[in-house]
Amino acid sequence: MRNRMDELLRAALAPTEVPSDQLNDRILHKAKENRQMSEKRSYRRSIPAAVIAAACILVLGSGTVLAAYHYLSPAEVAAEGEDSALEKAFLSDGAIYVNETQESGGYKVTLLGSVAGRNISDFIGEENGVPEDDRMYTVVAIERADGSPMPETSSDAYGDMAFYASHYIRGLDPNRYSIMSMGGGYSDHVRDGILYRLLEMDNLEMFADRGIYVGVCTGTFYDAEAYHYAESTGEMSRNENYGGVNALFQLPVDKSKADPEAAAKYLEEFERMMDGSAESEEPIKKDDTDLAVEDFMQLLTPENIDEYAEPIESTRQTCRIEDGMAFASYDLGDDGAGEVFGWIETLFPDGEPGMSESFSYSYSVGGDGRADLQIETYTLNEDGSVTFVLYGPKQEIRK
Amino acid sequence: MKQEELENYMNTYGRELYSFCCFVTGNRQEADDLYQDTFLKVYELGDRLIIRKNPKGFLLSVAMNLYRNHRRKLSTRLRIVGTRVSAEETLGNIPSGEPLTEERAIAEETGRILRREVERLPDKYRLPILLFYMEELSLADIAGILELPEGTVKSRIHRAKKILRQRLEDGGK
Repeated sequence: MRNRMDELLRAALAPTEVPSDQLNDRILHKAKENRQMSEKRSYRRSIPAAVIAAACILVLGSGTVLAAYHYLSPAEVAAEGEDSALEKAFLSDGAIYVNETQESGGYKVTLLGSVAGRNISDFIGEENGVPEDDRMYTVVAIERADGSPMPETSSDAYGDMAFYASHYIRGLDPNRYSIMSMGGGYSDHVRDGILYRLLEMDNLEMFADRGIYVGVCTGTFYDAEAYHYAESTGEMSRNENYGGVNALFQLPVDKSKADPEAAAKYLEEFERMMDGSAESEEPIKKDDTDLAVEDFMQLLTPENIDEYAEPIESTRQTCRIEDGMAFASYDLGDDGAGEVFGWIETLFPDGEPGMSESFSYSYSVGGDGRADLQIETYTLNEDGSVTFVLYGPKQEIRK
Repeated sequence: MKQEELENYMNTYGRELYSFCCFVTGNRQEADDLYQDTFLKVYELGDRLIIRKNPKGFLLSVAMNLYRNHRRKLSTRLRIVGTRVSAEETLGNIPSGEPLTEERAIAEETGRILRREVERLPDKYRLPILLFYMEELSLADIAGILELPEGTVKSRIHRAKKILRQRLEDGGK
């Protein structure tokens, strides 16, 4: 029975559940409905020509004339999303206007403006029943440097070029702290060939004393190649050798809004959430046994393993090699049995003969930890074959 | 993404995704919701994403994220007795050609116990087992979906098997 475990699991878990036709039909119907809604929301209301003419007259003679005339304002972008509360917020004194343009990867990215505060949107989401009402909203415009229009959001070509736009906090790793992990979201609107992205995240004004960035880079996820992050100083900077878009702006947030105490609390909660999300809702607590085993395993290297552990010779065997993996199986009666495998590339990254530095191990749940610890070892031989042998801690170590 | 593409994904991967949803939620209604939300999310993301390879892995990673969020939100809600997908409902996958009736009965009982014991595993072990044996994803793909090092995935599968083997030997008690 033990040697058939893989076969039994595959058979027992083979996917047999079939979704009902009604469920599939419902999904297709909803998808169509959502698309229609989205297209409706992406629709640009036209601004009367008289208003545009008036705006042109008012701004003539200023160096920023073209920016103000060329782009929608953040308030107009909010109006595009039918968010009148946010539109008002962007028109309030608390809003920040930047209008700075950077060019990279064949695109021009302009940071238009930002606003933050509590209940400043008609669309307040919630997490675990708690309203996410304290938010930071920023609008960026993205356009092709050659002047050709960006595709409409309803067109198939819209997905051909993805952008990852986020606020970042100086001193915090952008790979970890960004829109993806900090309650973020965004909406895109295309007007006159320019893509406007309205991004929102948790309100980061509490970090104002550190400094807030706004970055727009190529891709659906954060691309660590796009920016340099100096851990020592906490500074982010553009990677000048990056081939794609990697705009990076400093958001001129009012430093008086910094609240280090709230920031520390936010980060504490953030870490708690992140730890929880990496595992199940019931994280496995490490007890003393787990920690003792981990400590012991950290000691082990191919060079010293014989000092602390001894091979269980009955398990020694030449592995079956298949699809880049080394397979072995063993049966120790009451002490357990297993079918094990390891990726050869992972086990022997240099291809050098000798025991792999990578050990897998197991011990009984609720057992004595080191007492029944089993350590899998793989050794690459000169002829390219791989030898497997299980090790157990020496008697004096087991106690 | 066009409707036809969505339909194509549903036809091609629907069964595998739905089985996964049933197993991880253990509740038919929640499985329906998770399955539906996954496809709608993919459809929505389809405007921004180009799925060039391994669409099944991508679908499962979306389902996984939705499941995590869902579980966080409903962590205090008790499962409703009676709507749980029964392990006994999902029989009929016994390997090898037409074993004798008695052997088949034993195999079915073994499968039933295994499914029940997999359901009882904590997510930390259950999810890698499902992704490996039910969805037949590679360790690298599972590592990507669960955001864990490949070695950790491997050791969790190994440890889960050890737990399951023990429980099987105990008759699933």
